Amino acid sequence: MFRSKKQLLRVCPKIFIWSHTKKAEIEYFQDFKHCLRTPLIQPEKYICGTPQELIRYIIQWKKKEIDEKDKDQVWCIFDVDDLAKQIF
Amino acid sequence: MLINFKVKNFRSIKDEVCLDLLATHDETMQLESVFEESENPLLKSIAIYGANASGKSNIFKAFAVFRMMILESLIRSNLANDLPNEYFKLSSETENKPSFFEMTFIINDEVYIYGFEINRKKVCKEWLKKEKGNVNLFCRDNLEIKSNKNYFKEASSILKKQTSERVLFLSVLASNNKPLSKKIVEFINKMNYISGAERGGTLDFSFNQFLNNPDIALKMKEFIIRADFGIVDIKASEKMTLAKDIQHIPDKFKELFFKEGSKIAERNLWFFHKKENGESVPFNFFNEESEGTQQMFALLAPIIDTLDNGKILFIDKIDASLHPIICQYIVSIFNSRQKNSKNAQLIFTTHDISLLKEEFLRRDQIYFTEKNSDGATKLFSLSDISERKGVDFAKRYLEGRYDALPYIADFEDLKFFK
Repeated sequence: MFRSKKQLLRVCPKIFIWSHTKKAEIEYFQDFKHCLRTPLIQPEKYICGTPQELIRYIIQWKKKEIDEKDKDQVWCIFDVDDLAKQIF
Repeated sequence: MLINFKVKNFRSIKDEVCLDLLATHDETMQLESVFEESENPLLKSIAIYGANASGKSNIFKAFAVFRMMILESLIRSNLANDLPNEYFKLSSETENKPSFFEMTFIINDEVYIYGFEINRKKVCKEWLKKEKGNVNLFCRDNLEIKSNKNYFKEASSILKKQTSERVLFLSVLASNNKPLSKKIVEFINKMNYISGAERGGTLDFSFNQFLNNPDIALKMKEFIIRADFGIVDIKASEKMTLAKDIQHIPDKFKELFFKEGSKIAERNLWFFHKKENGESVPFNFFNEESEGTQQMFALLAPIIDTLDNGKILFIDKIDASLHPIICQYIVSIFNSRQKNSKNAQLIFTTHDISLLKEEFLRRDQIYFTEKNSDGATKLFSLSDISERKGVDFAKRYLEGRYDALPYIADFEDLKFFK
């Protein structure tokens, strides 16, 4: 008689939150992570000039680091006011 | 052989937790760590991981209470102190309610289930069942004991009457040489528990075995020499000496605790290291050897005794002061068909994540403890998680993907702001 399978638990998915600036917005997510007390939220910085650059970087990073089966999420955050100034 | 151990309402354990040694049905996992007994595929070792204060050791403490009640409830029956009903304190549901303990095991090819519930003053419930045919051999509700007349003749009405409220009926039957009960108590007695905090008793056992049991002494010596502690030989001696002549006991202490002329055993244990010119140099084990060597020596006799006699051993914090390679070696010995031919079983807690690899432990051999939001311990196995094959379990565990990790905000900040 083998061990009976209980309810199958899911591997916890992670949420990677990327920003391209050093500014405080990414730090808010670090505080949010502390509120939830979970290592599964991971704010990350890739300092670069434009959001496009960040997105290109994330696409490559995601291919290498993320397995779709884990159902991880990758977010990119941008400060819209700054963006407007840069682009227009 | 042990199949499972269940506990409820004991210390941080609120709802039932079950430490299951049955293997799961998965042919992709290695089979070396599995043996079969009475059609039950059983695991030779189980590892429990979890954050500090998540309740790992409480499962072992529960086993210690279960064992102590069975072996000592008779001799302790006249003591005035409370029974070890350490109920879960953080809920009014469990406050002042009995603690539950149950074990399923195999003796002479039959599977038995034995358990009891105790509160601080008495045994509230007790039961013994045979799994095949689901036969109740006896069941007890406070002082009322009902037994199966066809299958369990050893429960006489005289012995039922002799059983007082603080004593287990099983212990009464065994002390009256009733065959099955005696076998069960002997089985429990052969299961050993090494606490993580107090290793003095274990060292005492190892020293005695080394001194008086040449077979075990030889194996202990071989292990220590092979395990690269830089030791070439070990010698032990014990002699009775007048307390007043022992130099390292302060005089004041001698006056207080020893009568004039009283003798105590003076133990010497020498570990020989090699000098550059090839000569052997003795080191005093008790004050010159490293803590790792001391821990290893203390653990060795119980480990060898367990392997030689096909026993069951619980070790809390196996990795205390030991190098991961040594832990891997011990676990590999237990999992080996050749080195553990008698199918001894090892259940241990550890923080050593180097063992979290399929080459050392199957997924069903790995357990995690975690505290729920109500502060209660949850126990689950890696085989309960729908994990992909071929991943690095240690890396995934440290990422928090299985929970069961401590969360230190300051540490997360240090990583983030670097």
